[in-house]
Amino acid sequence: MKDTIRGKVFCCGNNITAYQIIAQNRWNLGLNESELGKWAMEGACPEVLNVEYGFRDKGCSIIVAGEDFGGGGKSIEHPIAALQGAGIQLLLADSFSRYSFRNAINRGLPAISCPGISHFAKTGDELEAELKTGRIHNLTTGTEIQGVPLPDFVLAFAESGGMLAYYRNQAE
Amino acid sequence: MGSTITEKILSRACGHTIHPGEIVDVAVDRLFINDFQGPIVFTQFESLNRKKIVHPERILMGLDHRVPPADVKSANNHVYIRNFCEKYGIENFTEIGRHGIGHQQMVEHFTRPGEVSLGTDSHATMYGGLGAFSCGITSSDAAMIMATGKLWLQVPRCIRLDITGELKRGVTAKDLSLAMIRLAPATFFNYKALEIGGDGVKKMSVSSRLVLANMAAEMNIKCCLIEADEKSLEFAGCTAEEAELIRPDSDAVYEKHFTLDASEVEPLLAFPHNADQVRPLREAAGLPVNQVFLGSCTNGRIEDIEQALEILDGRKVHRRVRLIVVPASQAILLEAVRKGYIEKLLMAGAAIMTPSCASCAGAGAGLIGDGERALATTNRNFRGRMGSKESEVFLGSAYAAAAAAVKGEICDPREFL
Repeated sequence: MKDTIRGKVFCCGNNITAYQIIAQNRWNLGLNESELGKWAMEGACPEVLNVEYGFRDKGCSIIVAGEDFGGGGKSIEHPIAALQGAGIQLLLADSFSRYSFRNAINRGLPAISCPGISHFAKTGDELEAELKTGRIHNLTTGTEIQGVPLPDFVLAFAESGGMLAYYRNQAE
Repeated sequence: MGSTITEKILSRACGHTIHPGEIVDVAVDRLFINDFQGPIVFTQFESLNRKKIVHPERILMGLDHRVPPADVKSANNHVYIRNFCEKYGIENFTEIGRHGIGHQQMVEHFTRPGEVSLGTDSHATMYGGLGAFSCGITSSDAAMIMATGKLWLQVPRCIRLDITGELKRGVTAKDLSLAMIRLAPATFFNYKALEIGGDGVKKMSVSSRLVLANMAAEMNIKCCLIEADEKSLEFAGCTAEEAELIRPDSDAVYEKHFTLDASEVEPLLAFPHNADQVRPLREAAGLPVNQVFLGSCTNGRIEDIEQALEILDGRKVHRRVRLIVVPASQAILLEAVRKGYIEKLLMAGAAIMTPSCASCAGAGAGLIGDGERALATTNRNFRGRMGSKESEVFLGSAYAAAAAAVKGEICDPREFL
């Protein structure tokens, strides 16, 4: 696992729910990153509604969200799997819903809580995040912000490709 | 420095004293898996190449979202689930006919006070009504518990809520739970544990306490623990030796204290399209309803049916309204039959469905169409949750449901009591 992740930002606002990240009519595709990834963010980004790979083709690899990203109380892993399938490598938010944070950790997608991040970057900005320290640099504006550093076990899960893969590696 | 109930249960479950913010491996006492997540959980478990589940006896596999199945995909999922349970020795598989909403079955003689009891669905918070540490988990989490018996959890900070006073006539635990949601914005409770005690909650039935713990999920909390007592033991079907009645230490550290006087709560509703849109019921009075839904893990128990019958018994459901009643489990349905409640509901003009989540999660029968309005005793009312995106759902008590069913419009249930 790289200690830093660099990429182009897609900004979404507060209270983006699990249903907006992957619509309920896509849940029957199964927990399949590449299939779900075709339809990521349909509910959060009107121009990609019903456009296959619409969100992936924007070429963003970092999501910057406001409060309660991934809320709506759904425990399913499909929203995080959809984002992974659409090429997202890092989630940054003012705050996460418990399930989206937990699912991100379990699926090996680094997620950094960073109050204030939603005003720190705009869609299209280039960011670089240091996972171990929680330092986030906006390379477009030349500014910095401090997020919550990721603990070692989260990095270990991410390196293995998720909690289940980490466990498989340990057991072997 | 003393400990909260949450800290005491988690300390016991991981074998050492723990503190808020810490991430710990917790031994899990009970695990619920439903038929929606089951096939995903089992596929993930099989990807771990384990020959055995470490504690199959701690698992309850419940069919509740799609029972009986109305499409072949669901039927095939059930086939997979049955075969998996047979192969890996999961004996607590609730076959159709012995089924119910899984959360209800988890509290009917399975989960005990003081245990760590988790489920693959967000309303697993309900087992906290028995004084268990309980929260919703994800499918990967359930697979890990099956393989190792343990799960990583972050120890939450705790909020204390004391309930004083007694609910007035016509006001129920559902109204109180909606009042709880109004205590603070949902972002305030994110990741936190809510512990509830006080004289008001001691006087409440376990059924009512389960309503509070169930609806607490809508506050964005991680878990909700209600102080357990003799009533909890009786409900759970165990003795004081078989369970732990845990109290917080007098110097336990709570991030914030709230108090709610139950006697001041009036009938409330959650307005469309979110459970946090709580307002007095009277502000919606006069709005016509097309469907009334009495059921769900929140309010599908005998106590709810009894409340509804205080209004429905001897009256008729309004000619423009469908009243759908879904007892939360076969045990509840049987009790309702024996007590003559089902006959009274049928006489009033209600449709009775087999226990299931039904249309509460938009996955089962009983959906509503374009332009329709429902009053439901369920726990969520997101746009389109119960059917059409062009419909709206108000959440309220069994009294509010029965009154709307009779009058054909939302009205104060105390008119009928």
